[in-house]
Amino acid sequence: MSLTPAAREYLLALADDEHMIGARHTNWIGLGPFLEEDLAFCSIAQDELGHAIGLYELLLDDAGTDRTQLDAFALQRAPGDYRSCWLAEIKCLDWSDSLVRHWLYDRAEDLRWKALESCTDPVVAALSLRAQREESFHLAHAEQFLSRLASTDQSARIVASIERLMPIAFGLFDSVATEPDMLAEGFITQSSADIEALWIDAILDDLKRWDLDVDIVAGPGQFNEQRRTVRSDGFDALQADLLKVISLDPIAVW
Amino acid sequence: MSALSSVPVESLVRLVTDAVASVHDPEYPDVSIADLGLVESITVSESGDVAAIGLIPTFSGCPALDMIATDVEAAVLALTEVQQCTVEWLPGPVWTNERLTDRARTTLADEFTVVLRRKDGGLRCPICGSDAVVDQSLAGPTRCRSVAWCDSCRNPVEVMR
Repeated sequence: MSLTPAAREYLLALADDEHMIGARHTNWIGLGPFLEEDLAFCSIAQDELGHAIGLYELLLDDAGTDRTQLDAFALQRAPGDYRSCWLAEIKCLDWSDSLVRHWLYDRAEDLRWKALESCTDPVVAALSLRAQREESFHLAHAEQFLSRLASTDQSARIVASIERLMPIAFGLFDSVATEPDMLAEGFITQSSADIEALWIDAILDDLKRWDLDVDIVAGPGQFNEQRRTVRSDGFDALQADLLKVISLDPIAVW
Repeated sequence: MSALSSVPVESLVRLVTDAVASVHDPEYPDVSIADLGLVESITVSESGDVAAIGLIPTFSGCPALDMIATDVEAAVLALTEVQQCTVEWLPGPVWTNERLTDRARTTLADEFTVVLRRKDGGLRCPICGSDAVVDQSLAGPTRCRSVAWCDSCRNPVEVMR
């Protein structure tokens, strides 16, 4: 095992975020507002799930666990053993909310992967480069969509979604308990607070370019603030959904 | 007894390389994964009977990865000289469309109307040759393709991104 427990906890948080946001994005398959968007959102979901798989495999390899256990590890942990943030977990029934979440999430995700670019673990550093290339497409998608909508009569709806989700989005930067050890070990050089500051700048730049007037505020109590150990209200239903197919035949090999 | 240990390792590497190259991408039945630039490393053990193949994906989210790995393993194990084969998707380097060979580019354009963006950012229609090709959607039918439109011959064109 070459990763420290601190590093494992840190990477698990990113992996679980990628897994949950990918799973939530797939809720729109077949329901996207138009065909091209259906494909685009599905593509983004596939990339996020791909990022989760890369990190989960790294964690399994490091623990000496066979990769055939990937599904069990990804899907069947106790809720308290996940480290995802609430923004990634929650169900967005409104297309505007999903689109805004995608933008808020991918702005942060891009910065989080970038912070791992010079990670001391070579696999993490390599995954970072691939993820960043893909994030450039995700961010281009968010920009093209939101910049257009912001100048239409739908801008109020976008603003309402931003105001609804922004307080929860700050939970992206609720760091795992082991983050100070990670910084001390030199595994990462930027804290979650450092990344949060960069994220706020990027979000404000976007809003200014789109000419949208929104207050950027963190919402106390709107994310778990407990080092990512507590799940959001809908998590049990989400996990049950994700387990539906696997439960049909628990010993089948997919 | 090691199988055909008299065959030099270099010859085996060549055999394994050809076997890997015989695997076509599920999305492009006439294009070898080697020509797409997916093959990063091929090693054969000193004893000559264990092959290890390292591949890289175009995009993390490509759903064809398992299928490609299974096809590669089967193609390599079909060689009587090889007893064991491992196929791994490597974390790096990052795939870019610069890894495509000229043969892949030609087949993609001729058979699949898929083109690559020129260095100046422009696109040429593989059907009529016009430069009047405009981007339409960043997401196409697969993770590695976006969709454009030729204003001249009025056909959809796909772009390997």
